[in-house]
Amino acid sequence: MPRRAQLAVVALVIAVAGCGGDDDGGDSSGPTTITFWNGFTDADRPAVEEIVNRFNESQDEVVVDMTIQPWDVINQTLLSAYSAGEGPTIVAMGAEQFAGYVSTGAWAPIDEVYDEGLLDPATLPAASIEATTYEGERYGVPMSAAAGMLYYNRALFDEAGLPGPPESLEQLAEYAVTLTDYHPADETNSVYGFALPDHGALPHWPVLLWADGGGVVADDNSRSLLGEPASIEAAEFWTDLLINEHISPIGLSGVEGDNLFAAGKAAMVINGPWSSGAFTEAGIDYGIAPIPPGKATQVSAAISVNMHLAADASDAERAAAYQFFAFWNSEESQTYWAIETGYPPNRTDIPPSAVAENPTSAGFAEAVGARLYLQGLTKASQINDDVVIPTIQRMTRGEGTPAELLPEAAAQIDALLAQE
Amino acid sequence: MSRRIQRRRTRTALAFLAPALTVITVFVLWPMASALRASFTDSRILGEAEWVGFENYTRLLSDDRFTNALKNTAWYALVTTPVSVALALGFALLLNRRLPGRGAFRAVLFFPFVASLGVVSIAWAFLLDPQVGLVNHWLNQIGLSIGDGVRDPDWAMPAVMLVGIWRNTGFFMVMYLAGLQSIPRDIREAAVIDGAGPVGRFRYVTWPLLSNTTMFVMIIASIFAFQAFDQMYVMTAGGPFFRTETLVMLIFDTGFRDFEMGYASAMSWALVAIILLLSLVQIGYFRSRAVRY
Repeated sequence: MPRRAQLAVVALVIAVAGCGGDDDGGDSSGPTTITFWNGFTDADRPAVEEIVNRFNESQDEVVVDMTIQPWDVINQTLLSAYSAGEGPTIVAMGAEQFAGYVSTGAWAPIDEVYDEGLLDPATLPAASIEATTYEGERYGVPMSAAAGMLYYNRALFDEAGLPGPPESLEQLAEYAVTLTDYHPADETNSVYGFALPDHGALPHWPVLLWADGGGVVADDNSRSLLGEPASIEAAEFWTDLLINEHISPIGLSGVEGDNLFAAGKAAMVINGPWSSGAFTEAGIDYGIAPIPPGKATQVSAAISVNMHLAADASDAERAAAYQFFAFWNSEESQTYWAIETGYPPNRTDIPPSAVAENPTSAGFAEAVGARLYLQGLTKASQINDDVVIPTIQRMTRGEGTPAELLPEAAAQIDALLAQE
Repeated sequence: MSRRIQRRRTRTALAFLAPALTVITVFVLWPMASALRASFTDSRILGEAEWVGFENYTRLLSDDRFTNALKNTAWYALVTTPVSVALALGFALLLNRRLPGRGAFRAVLFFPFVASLGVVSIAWAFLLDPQVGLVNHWLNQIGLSIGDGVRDPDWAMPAVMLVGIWRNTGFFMVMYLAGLQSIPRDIREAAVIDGAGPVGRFRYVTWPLLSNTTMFVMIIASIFAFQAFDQMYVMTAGGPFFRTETLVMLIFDTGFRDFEMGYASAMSWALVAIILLLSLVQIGYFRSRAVRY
């Protein structure tokens, strides 16, 4: 073969070899390596890494090989990775996506973790247990759990002569109007009473509807409640405050709402514990309070991220994953997690005094009425992103009244529910 | 040259091309063929997919979301393509002259194209934000307003168009600069000697001789426009109420949020067909006007 052709063949071999898959690593006599994907890319990341390191150092049989990447990337690659047999042994996922994934058959039930006493469901957040139950079987264990709380800017409250956090949603609305200083000619000078996002955030509007006796979908997921009089009345109340009293910019995303609060341009905002670090860094003097009760009940949006086991995990990987699940939810790990991140500990048997070092964690442990939004629905994303959010945006832009738009949205949701 | 030598040369050439062809086959052709097959199934990525024939394609015809995304994409392409190409030509003509700091201006205009569109979209979203953004603040000082910026149903599309134009103009400008520099100097000089002014020189010499570059730039610009995704994903999430949802955004949501990979593949192939048709029309149009020199 001529020299040039030989070179070309070598180049081809190298190129093809470069496309080859990687080895799974480890041999049968060594420790079991399990892969773990999660999206804790922000301030929580060091705490997640530390707990995984502690687990790896605590024993010789299991190695957790963790990849932290944005949630979007996980969502784009997870199912393809599973179908190629390259998916992670354990993946963390928000409760709102649970039904969509579990219905594809990607995950294995993990009832044994509870049946064999590795974890006691009675000491774990009820919302997390509910969020990981599908057709009577449990498909995950909690990774982090909290509920949305009201952050309020103490300096702005003092300036307006307000004594403390509102005690009812009606009072929250009154405070929001008092605190708002709207400058239509140049909104960069405005201060808003209550930053109320409609997308890319915790479910704010559903909480406002629940609190006044309405809702998006009935508890048994049989039909939509958006067209009910209680939902319409609550929506009219808040829409009016947005359009006519300017208590919040319209069409905010969660990040934009946080930015306003961090800039001292919003007096109240609802969010999870992860925002506290940014608010402290921005020099905001804030307090944390439970979302106050509405006319019907006191409720907040449950935030639940859970760990799930791949359906194709081997027995050894399964046993290794169970060991890690138990370690993550041990008293020691959860105390560390709460102090470092501001999340309340996953275990209800850890006393508040153990995490008092971090007031955010202690504050979030006081959340009332944590409730999952669109729980157990495989069409949850479509219901929220394709119907609820656009309807709220139309409503708040004055492209129709709640009485016109909400029954229409309810019909669209009912059609989606029929496909469940 | 003997047939044997020629055959050997062909073999050698193919051997050298093999790595690139392998990569193209594995990462471009095979996924395309795989998507085409998936578009005739109810694939949900995981699990067995059933053959559904043309069902996904007929569903496209009655899908309001698809029609809306197609309209948004067409509107986006219709505005951004001519505007960015015209601006690019203008900048290229300007920066083809001997100007102080010419290199710096060229670099500044080209920079947006090499920066990550995701990152610059975040920056633009901040700049255009009505509550904390600089642009709205400056505009307010002179009595102008862009409403609620990217959150405003009337301004969201212009805002994402602005980012698209800002990003691509520099790249097209470089293409035009290359085109301008390939125009033989003697033709221009002849026009000057014949008494042609700047407008006449542009109209009768430069513009016709740039037709090949214009064809290339127009085709690439419309492909870019039909593939618009990043800035909408980052700045508006397709909203408010689907006003900025483009075809690629809809494909992404259908495939990776709803896991309807079969239907998303059908939409992708519809997009391929649209871009192919558009490119063929453009090639036909510009070929008939091509100038050889």
